[in-house]
Amino acid sequence: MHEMSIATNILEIAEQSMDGHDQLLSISVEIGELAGIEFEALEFCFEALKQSSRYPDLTLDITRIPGKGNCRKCGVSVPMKERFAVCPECGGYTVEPSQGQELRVTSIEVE
Amino acid sequence: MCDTCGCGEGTTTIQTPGEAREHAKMHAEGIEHSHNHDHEHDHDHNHSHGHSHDHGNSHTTTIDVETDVLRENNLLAERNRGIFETRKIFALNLVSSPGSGKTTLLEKTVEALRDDVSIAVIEGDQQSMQDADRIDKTGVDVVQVNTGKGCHLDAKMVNDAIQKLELPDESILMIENVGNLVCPSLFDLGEHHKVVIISVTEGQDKPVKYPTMFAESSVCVINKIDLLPYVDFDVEACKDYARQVNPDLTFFELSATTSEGMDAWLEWVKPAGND
Ligand SMILES: Nc1nc2c(ncn2[C@@H]2O[C@H](COP(=O)(O)OP(=O)(O)OP(=O)(O)O)[C@@H](O)[C@H]2O)c(=O)[nH]1
Ligand SMILES: [Zn+2]
Ligand SMILES: [Zn+2]
Ligand SMILES: [Zn+2]
Repeated sequence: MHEMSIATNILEIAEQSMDGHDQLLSISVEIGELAGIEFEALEFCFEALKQSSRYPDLTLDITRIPGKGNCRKCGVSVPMKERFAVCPECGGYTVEPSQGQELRVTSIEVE
Repeated sequence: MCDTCGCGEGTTTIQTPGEAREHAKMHAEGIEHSHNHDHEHDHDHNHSHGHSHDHGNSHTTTIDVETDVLRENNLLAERNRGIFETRKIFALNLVSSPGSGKTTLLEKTVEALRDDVSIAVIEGDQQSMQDADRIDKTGVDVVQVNTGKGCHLDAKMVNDAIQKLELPDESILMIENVGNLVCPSLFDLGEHHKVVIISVTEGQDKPVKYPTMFAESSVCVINKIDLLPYVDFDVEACKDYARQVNPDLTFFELSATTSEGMDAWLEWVKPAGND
C-alpha cells in the first residue's frame, strides 16, 4: 500500500508550502487514473494521517484526470482505463498514455 | 521509543546483522541503551512561494504549489544515481511477489561472484533480520532495511543504507525490494535495472496481471525451473505475456536451488559482461 507514503508526501509538501501561515485548511491534488493510485486507499490513508497531524479538520480535494492515449501502431487516440490497454482499433498493446499519469499537489488553502 | 523491539511506531529501521545482535544482547541483559532512529527530516525544503490570493471576505488564502508528489523521492534517486555513476557501482533492484526466490538467487549470485568483484546487498523487508542474516553468512556486506508498515523501498532508505555500507568503487550493489509486485514499481531508487523475478509456481499470466512491474523492469528472471515437470506453467506463454507489456525484456530461465541456467545470469550481472 504505497498510498500511505503518497499521503505522507502530500502532507509534507503542503506543510513546506505554508509560507508562514499556521492553519492548513485544504490540499488540492491532481491525480491521473493511470498513476497507479487507488483513490479510496489514498482517501483512507489521508484520513488516518490527518487525525495524528496538527490539522484534524484538513480536507483533501482530489481532481481525477481521466486516462488517454495514442496507439503507436495505428495512431488513434483512445480513452484509457488502465495503464496497459489494448488498442480498440488494431488490438495491439501499443497504446502510449498521453494523459492520466499526473500525481501533483496543485494548491493549498491556509489561514 | 524503539522500533527494533516493537515499542515504537512502525517507522523505518536500517541496521547490519552485527548491530542487530548487539542490540538484542543489550535487551537480553537489561543494559541501558539509546536508540538511533533515522528520522526523515533532512529534506531539501522546496518552499514554493507561488502567488497567493485572498478569497472574498473569508480569511483564507490559496497558495499555488504545483509540486510533483514523488519529487522528493525522485531527487534522492538522482542523488543515488550520481553516486553509482561516479563510483562505477552497478546497482540492481530485485522485485517480485513474496517467495519467488530473491534471497536464494542473491545467495547463489554472491557466492559465485564474490571472489571476482566486490558485492554488497541491501535487504528490504517489512520486518525481521532473516534475509540479512542469510546474506551475512556468505561473508559480503549487508544492511537490512525494515520498512515497518511500508510495502516498498524508497530512494531515501537506499541512500541511508549506502552510507552504512561504505561501498567500494567498481562494485555491485544488489537491492532486494520488499516482496510486492505493485508498490515498488512507483519508487525510483536510482538503480541501473529493475530485475523482476517470477517463479514457475505463480501462474504464467502474472505479467498481464501486474503489468507495471514488468514494464518498468529490463530483466525478467523465471525462477524454479526445476519444478517445471510438476507444475502447469508454459514458459513461452509467460514470456509472450511479458513481451506484451515490455517488448525489450531480457529473460533468464534458471533454478536458484539447482543452479541450472545460472551461468547466463551471472555473465549478465558481472559488470564486465554488461555495457
Ligand atoms: N524448487 C525451488 N525452490 C526454490 C528456488 N528458489 C527458491 N526456492 C525456495 O522458495 C522459497 C522462498 O525463497 P526465498 O529465496 O526466501 O524467496 P524471497 O523472494 O526472498 O522471499 P521474500 O523475501 O519473503 O519475498 C524457499 O523455500 C526457497 O528454498 C528454486 O529455484 N527452486
Ligand atoms: Zn503498497
Ligand atoms: Zn492501434
Ligand atoms: Zn530497543
